[in-house]
Amino acid sequence: MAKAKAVKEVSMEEALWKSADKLRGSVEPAEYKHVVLSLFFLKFASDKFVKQRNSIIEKYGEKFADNIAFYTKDNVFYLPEESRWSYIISQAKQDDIALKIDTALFTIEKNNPALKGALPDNYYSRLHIDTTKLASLLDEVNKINTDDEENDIIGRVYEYFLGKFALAEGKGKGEFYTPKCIVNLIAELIEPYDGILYDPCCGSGGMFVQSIKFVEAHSGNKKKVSIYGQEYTNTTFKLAKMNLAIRGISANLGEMAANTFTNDQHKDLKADYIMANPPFNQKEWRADTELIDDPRWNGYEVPPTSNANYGWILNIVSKLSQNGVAGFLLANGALSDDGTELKIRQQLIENNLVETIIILPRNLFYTTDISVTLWVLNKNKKACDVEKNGETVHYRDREREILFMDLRQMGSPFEKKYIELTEEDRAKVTATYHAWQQKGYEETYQNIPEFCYSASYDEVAEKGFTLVPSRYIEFVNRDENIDFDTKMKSLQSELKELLVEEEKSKADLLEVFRELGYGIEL
Amino acid sequence: MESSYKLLGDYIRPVDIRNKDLKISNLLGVSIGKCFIPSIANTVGTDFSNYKIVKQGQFAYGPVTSRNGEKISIALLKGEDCIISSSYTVFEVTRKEELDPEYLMLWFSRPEFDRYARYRSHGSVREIFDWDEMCAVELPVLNIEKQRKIVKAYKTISDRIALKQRLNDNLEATAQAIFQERFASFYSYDDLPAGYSIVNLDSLCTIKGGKRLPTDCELLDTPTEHPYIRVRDVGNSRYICLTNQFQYIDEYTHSAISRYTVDTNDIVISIVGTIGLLGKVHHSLDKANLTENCVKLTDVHTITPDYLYYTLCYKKQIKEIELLTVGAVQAKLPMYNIQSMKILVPPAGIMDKFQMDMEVFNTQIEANTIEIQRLYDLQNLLLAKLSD
Repeated sequence: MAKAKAVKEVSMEEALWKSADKLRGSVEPAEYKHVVLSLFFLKFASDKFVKQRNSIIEKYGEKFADNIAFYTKDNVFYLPEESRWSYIISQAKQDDIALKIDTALFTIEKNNPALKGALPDNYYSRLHIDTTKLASLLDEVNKINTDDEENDIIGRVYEYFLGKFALAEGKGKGEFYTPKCIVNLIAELIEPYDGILYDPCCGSGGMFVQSIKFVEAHSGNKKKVSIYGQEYTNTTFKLAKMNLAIRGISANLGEMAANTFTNDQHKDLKADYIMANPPFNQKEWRADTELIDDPRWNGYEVPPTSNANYGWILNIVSKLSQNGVAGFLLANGALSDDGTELKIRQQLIENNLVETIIILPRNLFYTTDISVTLWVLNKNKKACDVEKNGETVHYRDREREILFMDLRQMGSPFEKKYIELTEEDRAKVTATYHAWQQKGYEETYQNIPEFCYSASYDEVAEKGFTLVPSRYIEFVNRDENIDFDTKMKSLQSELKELLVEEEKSKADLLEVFRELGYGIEL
Repeated sequence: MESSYKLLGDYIRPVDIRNKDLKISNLLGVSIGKCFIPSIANTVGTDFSNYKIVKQGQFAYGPVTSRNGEKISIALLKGEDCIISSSYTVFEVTRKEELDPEYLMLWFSRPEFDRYARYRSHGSVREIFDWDEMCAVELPVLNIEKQRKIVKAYKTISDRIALKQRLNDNLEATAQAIFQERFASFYSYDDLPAGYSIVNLDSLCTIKGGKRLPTDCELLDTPTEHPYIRVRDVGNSRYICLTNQFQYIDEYTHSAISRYTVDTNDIVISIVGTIGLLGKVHHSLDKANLTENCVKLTDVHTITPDYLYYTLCYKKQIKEIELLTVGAVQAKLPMYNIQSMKILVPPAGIMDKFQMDMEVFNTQIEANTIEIQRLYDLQNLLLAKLSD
């Protein structure tokens, strides 16, 4: 029986992917995202430019249409003729289209200091892509409606492409794209409304984008947040610059892509908020004799060469301002490591820095199924009144306390293989955390078995300064709450019936065997 | 926890004896079903001298609990001494006059213990339930006589389950023998006697597939109105009946796939993966949802569902069902092959006689199946009761 085939809606990401897939053979699959995203950038920048140009003409008249100042004041790139998307599209079928794209990108970068080092240099010419393939890709990119600010197009495209390659590429490189729900959770916990925001290993800048969205969503002023970041991988560094530029977020990502430990780009920075997802359990991150006297370890033991986890933690601690808060992810192992790590951890706890330890469910990441920990460190756990986004918050003194949370039983399935923390999940976590932080917490906060527990310094010391949440949060044995009597009674009556039936059926059976001529003697 | 609860660490000690002189060759592993099983590891070139020896009456467990089906693999060795991989931790009860090892094993067998072990496991890639955590387990250490009584009660039920199972196996075999004696030879006839005919299966019933869960819907462990039959629920016995192993779907998911349900007495055949598992739907699963990896035979006419069931068993026995499968990576039984399966239709009188003769087998097998389920329920309840 022939069935009418349902027409399947092809999403924008899928269409893009398909056209990028046409490049197969001429371009390494790992390069697709660079090929596509740069074109994408061009289209995006161009659309913004056209929009701005039209509004300038409307407001001030034709003669100001090419006045660059009117563009830069709104974080829009001014594009000369050869950099405009309309021009590229009109030339799409030409033999030298690759060169034209390179020229367009080069011109944009030259005219806009914010993009210095961000755009690919002579990239398309060197790829030697078949012109027809490139043209069809341009065609596909041309279909994208960049006006849809609601849906964060560039983020979606990037995420999609990274997801597609995550297995092949991300894992080998140890690059993990932080899922949106985790970044949201961190932002909702530390509330970066105003001040300096820093990410020592910012990747493509996802944390920044998400926190700016958070500020906007809570009707804060994003101009009050200044962004500092650093990234080690050069191509990712470029992506970050593009990613931020496209969204009109100005950021200081340092002079160049560089190693945060050996070539700190923000030496004297004191940040009010730090968000990070550093690479986990990096081995040999410094040589034996390297970075021994680094000021970032002041007051602590030197983190061992075998694992960079505590190097990242101390880097973060050293960059926190007087009232700074940091939320970052680390491998679960860091909660209970022995040796030097234990000494550093004990010192951190004694210095009243550790505010909350949250263990997250497995399967949140694209590239690995491990469960990870979200640490929140707070430089100021004393009682104080702080103005947050127009409201005064009354914090209580929590210097000798740590809040533990276990989210391993939370999350909803997402794209079959993965788990995501839903908005309700996150709301529950942030509400618990904020209630615990504030005055009147006796009324609003309580320990909940298998979810949260507020531990005192003494309890933590007694357990040898381990920060594993399940060592503190109570487990409920559900067997204790079973209604034994009711269940037993129902089984009693069911089995009675069965046994009576059995007697009768046994007699019948013996009869059958007898009739068949094989009588059974008991 | 209550005051009769004691720390397990006070009653056990780790044992680490290696198979240095290669005296023991009985290589076992521990399953998530909480028993010792023959190891399936590739042991070519393995040095067994570093393997750990487990003596009768000792325990072994795998400390890594992640990626282990949310369970901890732990078991008490009842058979002869064996060796296991050194990744396991071996331990024994030191104060056997105070804590009965079999009673302790019952405590470990509770699903709640799996949950506890998972909860207290820690680590990134491998989450470990280490020796310290094992020692920190708290359990009710009752008077030793009471412990032994509980163990005995549990064992009595286990024995009865095994007895019923054997009884059912025998009944099933007898019934099959009777079917074959009466009908099998007809399949080799060139000319069928009057009144007999061989027809395609789809002219005797309606054959329908099950349905995959919609994207983003998931199976639930907590019972709802809608059990979901998976391949693993089929083929354990003739009757597919509701057990505590079942998973469920919620109302919303059900509304999306509500057309793919089964009725009492439908026959279910698995068509993907483990192919040709057969079962008859018990009334406890009337209107349950069916996986896409099975088909149901429903609205059976001209012949009786029981006769059809016996015929399919026979077909399976002579490997006809396996022969019908296709598929490169994963074997699959195509719908067409099921539809065109040849079925002998005997004259109505002979069919009725067969149905009547089989009645007692059918009812007894059904009754035993249900009793086995209730006995399992009773066991689980007993285990849960340990926490009291």
